[in-house]
Amino acid sequence: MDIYDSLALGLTTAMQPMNLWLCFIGVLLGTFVGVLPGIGAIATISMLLPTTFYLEPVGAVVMLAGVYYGSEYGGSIASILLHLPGSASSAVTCLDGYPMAKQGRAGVALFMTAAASFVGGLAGIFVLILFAPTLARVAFSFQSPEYFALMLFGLLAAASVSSGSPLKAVAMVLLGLLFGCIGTEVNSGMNRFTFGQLELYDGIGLVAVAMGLFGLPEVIQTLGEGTDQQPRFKVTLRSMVPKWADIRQSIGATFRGTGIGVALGVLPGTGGTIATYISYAAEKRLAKDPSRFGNGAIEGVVSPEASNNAAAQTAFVPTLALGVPGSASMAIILGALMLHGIQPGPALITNHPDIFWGLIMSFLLGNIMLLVLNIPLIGMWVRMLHIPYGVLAPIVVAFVCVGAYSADNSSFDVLLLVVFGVVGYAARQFDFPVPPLLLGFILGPLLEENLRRSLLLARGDFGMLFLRPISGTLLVLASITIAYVVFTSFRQMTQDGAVPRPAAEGS
Amino acid sequence: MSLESSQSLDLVSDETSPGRDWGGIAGGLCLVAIGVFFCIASTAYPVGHVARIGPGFFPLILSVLVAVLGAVISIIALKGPKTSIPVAWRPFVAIIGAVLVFYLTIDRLGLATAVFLSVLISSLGERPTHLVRSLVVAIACAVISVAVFIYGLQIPVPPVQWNF
Repeated sequence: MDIYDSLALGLTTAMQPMNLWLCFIGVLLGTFVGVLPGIGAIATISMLLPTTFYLEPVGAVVMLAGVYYGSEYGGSIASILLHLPGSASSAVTCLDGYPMAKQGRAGVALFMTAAASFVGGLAGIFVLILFAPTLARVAFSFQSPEYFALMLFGLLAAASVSSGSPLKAVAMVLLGLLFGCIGTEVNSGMNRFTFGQLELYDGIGLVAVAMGLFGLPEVIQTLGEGTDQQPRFKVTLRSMVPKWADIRQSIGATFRGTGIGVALGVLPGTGGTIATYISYAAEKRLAKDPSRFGNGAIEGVVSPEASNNAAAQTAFVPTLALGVPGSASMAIILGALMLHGIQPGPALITNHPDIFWGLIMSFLLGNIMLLVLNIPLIGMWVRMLHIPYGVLAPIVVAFVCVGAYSADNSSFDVLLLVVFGVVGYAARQFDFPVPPLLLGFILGPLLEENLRRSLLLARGDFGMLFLRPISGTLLVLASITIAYVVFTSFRQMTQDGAVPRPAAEGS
Repeated sequence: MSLESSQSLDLVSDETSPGRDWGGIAGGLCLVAIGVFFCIASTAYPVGHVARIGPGFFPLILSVLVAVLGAVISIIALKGPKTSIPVAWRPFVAIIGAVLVFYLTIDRLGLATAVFLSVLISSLGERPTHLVRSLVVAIACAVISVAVFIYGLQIPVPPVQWNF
């Protein structure tokens, strides 16, 4: 099936009324949670998981994906108006966005970030269309050893670039893998670590884990901070029109940001957040007058926003083409597919072309919807920021509880919510990153299965894994990553090693 | 999450303050405990041999690694940059408590009651308590969740019941 047929199939799938509607709901919700500090895309995606049970697979993923990239649009609004990032990847936008608002240029900042986000998103979709099928074709020759090596490398890479100490991140990955072992073991039929609890026979429910780890701690923390600022800057449609100088300055920055985002989004572990830091740093370095940064330089606003949207789209390349998620949000979206009985991986494109191409075309439609939502309707979002967090937080808690319960009609899942809520909050306060835990949890059973099959194939010969070209390369990369982690921890211990300051909660 | 311009975005901190990384110590010790627990538990399952790994193989290796890493992290944290463990106790108790109450009441008192109670309790997590506002929100949430989940999604839970 050539590319035009595929795109046509995708378009007809995406334009089906139900899918259009779900796309709209997804991007609307995504912008909403992106705007509001204290609720993130990943918490929302996990909260929506139970509702996806009632939907077709295409629609389910279209909606969840809409939340994911939609939140990259809305996040900048709070950053610009309140100096409070709406989402982790909009943190950098505060630096020059808020000064712009103070200079009376909030409208321009908001307009330009929406435009930049659109350009970034579009570029990301383009890359997705170009590369995903090719990557999937390469991955067809993948067998268990390759998958094992790929997942291992993906997990380690994600851990090593996550905020804070890489060693702690690796520990969290391992912990997640361990939690993934709870339940019935497919090969032998043995129940592992269930201690007689019937509800654990199927493993720990993804919904409870995801919501507990991400939804609850975020709410606890934001309630604790007690920030209840109100936006003080007036934003009218007229104030949003940029000057020519603004546009000229932004063009280069937008494209540079897009490039960075596209590249980093594909790699496992790196996501929108890191892309924004790098884009900002790059713009500052390339600028003729770096002192403008921090005082309302429009490049510092436009470039990160383009890159986080580009990264959000290209993050789907490994997820859809290989079935290996690069971040926790992607992992949950994959989980949604698996819940519908669809096996992600290179076969997805050939077995379910309607899902793959329908999803991609829905990204296109979604980004267009977002452009409309974010420019003319900007006033609506600004008004949302007036909602006090004390009202929002309990609503989120109620939603999380009912969502977890309704997944399996089991109050045990709510108990799991409590457990993982405590685990998630403790991890945050101890400064251990949480996304690696979820990644490990979701990939655990798959990793083990591929390891078992590889060893069976090789009749116990570990060396074989290294001899096969692809898995060998990936394992070498994984070893390098391990060495890097060990090295940095060693440096930290033996001298005044610089430790990256923990950034906001990752993707 | 408030942001000072230059503060939280430093990718490299200029200096490390002497002291203990309490978060690392606490977390590391938790990991050791969890690792040891799962290690002992994994011995109940056959490990098999390399060519044919059993159900105990993977968890055993993982739990040992977790415990070892936990120990290493704790030790590094003894020298590590000084961190504290900030706990927002009031929101923590309020929200975790709310979920616990939901767990205890959903099967016994019905959906609407459970939602009402948990929303109310979690609103107590806010520093200046707005009791009237919380009550209104709680009632609204109860009504909406009944509408959405019982009538809309048809989950088999009665709105209100008395079931002990």
